[in-house]
Amino acid sequence: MNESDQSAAPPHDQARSLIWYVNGTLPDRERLELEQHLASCEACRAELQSVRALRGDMRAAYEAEPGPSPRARREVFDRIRAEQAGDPARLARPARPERTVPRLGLLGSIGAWLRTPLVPGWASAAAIVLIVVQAGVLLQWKSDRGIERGDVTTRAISRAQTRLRLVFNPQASEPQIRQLLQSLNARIVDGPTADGAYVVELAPMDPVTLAGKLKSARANADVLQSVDFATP
Amino acid sequence: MDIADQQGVSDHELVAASASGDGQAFEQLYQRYERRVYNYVRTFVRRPTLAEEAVIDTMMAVWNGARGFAGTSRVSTWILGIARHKALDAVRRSKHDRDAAPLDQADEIADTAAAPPELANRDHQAKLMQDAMGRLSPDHQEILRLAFYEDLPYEDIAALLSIPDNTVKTRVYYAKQQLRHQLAKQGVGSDS
Repeated sequence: MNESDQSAAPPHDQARSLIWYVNGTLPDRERLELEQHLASCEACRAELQSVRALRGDMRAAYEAEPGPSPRARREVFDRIRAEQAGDPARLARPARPERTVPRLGLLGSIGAWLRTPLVPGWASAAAIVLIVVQAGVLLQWKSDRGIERGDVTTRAISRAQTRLRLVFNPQASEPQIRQLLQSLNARIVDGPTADGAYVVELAPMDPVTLAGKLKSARANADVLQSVDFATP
Repeated sequence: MDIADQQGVSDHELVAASASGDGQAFEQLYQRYERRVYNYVRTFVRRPTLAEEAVIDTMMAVWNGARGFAGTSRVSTWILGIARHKALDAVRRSKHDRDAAPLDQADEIADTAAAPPELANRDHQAKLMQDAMGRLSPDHQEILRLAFYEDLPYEDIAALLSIPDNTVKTRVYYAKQQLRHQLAKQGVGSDS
């Protein structure tokens, strides 16, 4: 949008800063300059009164806007509870300035699964897997985090890794899944999706090796129901 | 709007407590921001369900990223920055929201027929203002909300929108003029 293409230019340049004078965020130097100008400019004083009145009416209108349905709140706190179930230690961890908070939705699901009565006594091995998965999710989270804050990131640089969308056989055991992931040299980076799929990222490898690994994985029907390339 | 509430708990304190896993603190933070984030997101996303998804994504990012919040900026600037990113993501995901038609909020405004006359009049005025604001371009809607409602400094708005400070001032000025024009078309005084 070309801001200069519009009519009714401000009578004085200072008039463009009036809203920040009214909302109290104008830097001190500019505020003093504006106050000096206002003392001698009747047009800008009138504009100031108009901005104040307009702001009051606008705020009343904003305050009357509807909020989201209760679903949003329910969803957020359900997810948090699920995360905390997967990572109860978070409650005891002190605040730290560095970015170390992973997304734990996947961990919550796996944690719940690990606590089912059907799971045999290999909880210690599962704990190791959880740590590995958590580290993977952390790396993914850190790559996304900068964009949320408007930072410059390397997101535009294409990744060499291949991403696959895996649906595990519900009967597959955790050691089987772990072994499959190790054979693919893969780490889980997302999931489960609504249809129970996980997205895994493979370490860079040449196409022939990749094809061979995929062929082996697809043949492992006891562990995998399906494997596809994940779409970005 | 980034100040302590009546109990003296600031947004920064709530974020810090959330970072250490304090769910109650996060609930307070959520309560303060849910509606603000939702309505900010609706500047870009027309469909309420999509906007709710963006709210959910935003608040989960706040929860998970609280420990990474350095505290050097306003909490509102930080949260709205996340919301903007999530909203634009939602728009990109949905072909239905690519058009920038004015928001039709008529079905979302409370029915004032049974309200006392004073309240009904106030609600009517709010609705007229909402209608006028809804007829502005998304750029103008967004920048007016950030300056007139969120009370963000122009430097924060410039950072949020990735535009120069001077453009922020100019855009706000012209957005305000456009709003007055819309109000005048509705028969509402340009000074109100």
